[in-house]
Amino acid sequence: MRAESPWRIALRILVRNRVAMSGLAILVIMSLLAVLAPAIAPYDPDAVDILHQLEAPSQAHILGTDLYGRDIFSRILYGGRITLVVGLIAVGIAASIGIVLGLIAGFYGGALDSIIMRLVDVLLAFPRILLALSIVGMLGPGLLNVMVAVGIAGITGYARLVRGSVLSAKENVYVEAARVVGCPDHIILRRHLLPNIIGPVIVLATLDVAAAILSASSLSFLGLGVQPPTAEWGAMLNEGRQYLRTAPWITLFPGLAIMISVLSINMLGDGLRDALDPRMKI
Amino acid sequence: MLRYIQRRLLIMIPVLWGVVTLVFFLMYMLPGDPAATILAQSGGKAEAIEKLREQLGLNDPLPVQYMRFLSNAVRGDFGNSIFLRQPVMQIIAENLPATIELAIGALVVALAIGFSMGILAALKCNTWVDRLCMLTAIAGVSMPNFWLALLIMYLISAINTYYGVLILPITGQGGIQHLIVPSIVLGFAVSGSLARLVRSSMLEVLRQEYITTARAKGLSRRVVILRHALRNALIPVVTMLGLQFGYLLGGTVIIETVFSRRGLGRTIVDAIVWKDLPVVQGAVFVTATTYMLVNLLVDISYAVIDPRIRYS
Repeated sequence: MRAESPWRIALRILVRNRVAMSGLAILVIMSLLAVLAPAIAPYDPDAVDILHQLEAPSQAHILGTDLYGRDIFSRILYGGRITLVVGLIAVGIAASIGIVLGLIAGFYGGALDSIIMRLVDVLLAFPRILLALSIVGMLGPGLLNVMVAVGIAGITGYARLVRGSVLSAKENVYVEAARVVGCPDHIILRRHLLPNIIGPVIVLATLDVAAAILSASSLSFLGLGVQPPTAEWGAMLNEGRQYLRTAPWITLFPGLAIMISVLSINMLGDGLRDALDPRMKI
Repeated sequence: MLRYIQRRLLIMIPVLWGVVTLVFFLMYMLPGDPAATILAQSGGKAEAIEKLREQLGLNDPLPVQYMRFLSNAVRGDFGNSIFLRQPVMQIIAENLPATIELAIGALVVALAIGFSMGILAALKCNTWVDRLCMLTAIAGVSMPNFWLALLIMYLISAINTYYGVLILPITGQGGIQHLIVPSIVLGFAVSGSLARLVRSSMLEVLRQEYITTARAKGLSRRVVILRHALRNALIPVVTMLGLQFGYLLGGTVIIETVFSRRGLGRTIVDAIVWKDLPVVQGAVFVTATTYMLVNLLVDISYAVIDPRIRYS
């Protein structure tokens, strides 16, 4: 009889976790709404309609309108595309650079390890949002720059996690066996070590998407991220700030959208952690 | 212990050098000419810009500029603000206390809410109380703090409009009253992650045999929880506090902006918007150094909480 693979076991634990599955369901719905925005949105998200500015939620505009009469619901649907993509790409940048650095540092050790880890120490000396803010300050505001900034600010977590895992995993017999049969280093790293340490990395990356969405929307809220008139949840909140007393819906709904998406990712991430890495339980 | 602190402070030196270097290169690569930015308001003639470039040393080769920046930074001199025309260190000295005050206020809120919720959830494990506490905690972690800030501002101003009383001042500086709302907003997210950690750490400790022994000896539940369980559950929590203080320091950037409070965070945002490089460099450097010192304090506090840990 063949033993069940650890991935299958993890999947089974995950599927049984009701909170995680609810998170996944919400996330799938939000992603679908974002992808299908052009088909679902009742209005053009950037269409200005001065006759209907600052209108409260009604049948015509279910979540109300903003200062320029733009439909908030349509803008939230389109904004979802940007927010979710920013989160994913920022984490993609952070994880790919962080994993490579961690693998090299942990596998080769010595001077290379010291150099990489001292660089990581320097980046760690900055609170994450501050580092992202400084990088955006350097690159200038904009969608791409926000993704790069939030991505670079997140590298340290992956580098430290992967390095630690590689340090213990490389002592395993299968690594020695691979070396003995003449496997080149890059194959050992990619085919033997990486698959064995990827579990906690997946957990970190999932939870990190939530953190990246919060960081990116914070930057947009400060006016340093996505620029108007592009619909983005953080930027929409920023626009609604001045009308908090007269038109609170401009602020309420985009914030709710950020919270629901971050919450669903956190719920899924917690479930993944329980399934993939029981040691990391928080 | 003293030797450990000395060693840690020595290790900080190369990291600080790295921080200064990173800050220098981040700003050096900034597009645009600082001299042109300074003179932009007054028209900015080419001759004047060139003269100012010479005065600021911007025409020197990169290594010369870097060494000058480094030697000035060691002496705590980050030059003058481009727009406020004051020494950067003076601006920082004026704004840092407000930021530290806010971060500490938020930490107090986070500890109070986080510990109460975490202990309660652990003691009532798998009941509705536990689920409610954990749901609140995960909601706290997932809520953008600028949104929570705006919601509370709306609520307070609505109460003010409706009943004619301002329960708490929302914006600006002042006594402890002005600190309450911003501290709650900033501390709430941290209280969420703290509650989750306190809960799991307490559950782990409550399963230990010495807890059963303490109960069997006839000690009261309160004494067992507060003296035996909580103290042992504190270690992983304190580890996280250092990291979370970094989050709080970073969070002040947003909270100070939303609540129109004076502080280092808001100074950084304004300086980035105005491209006031010396202020950005100085303020970012001081924040990073503060964060590193707090982490050192956290490490030292382990020994106080857990006498088994002794530093050599």
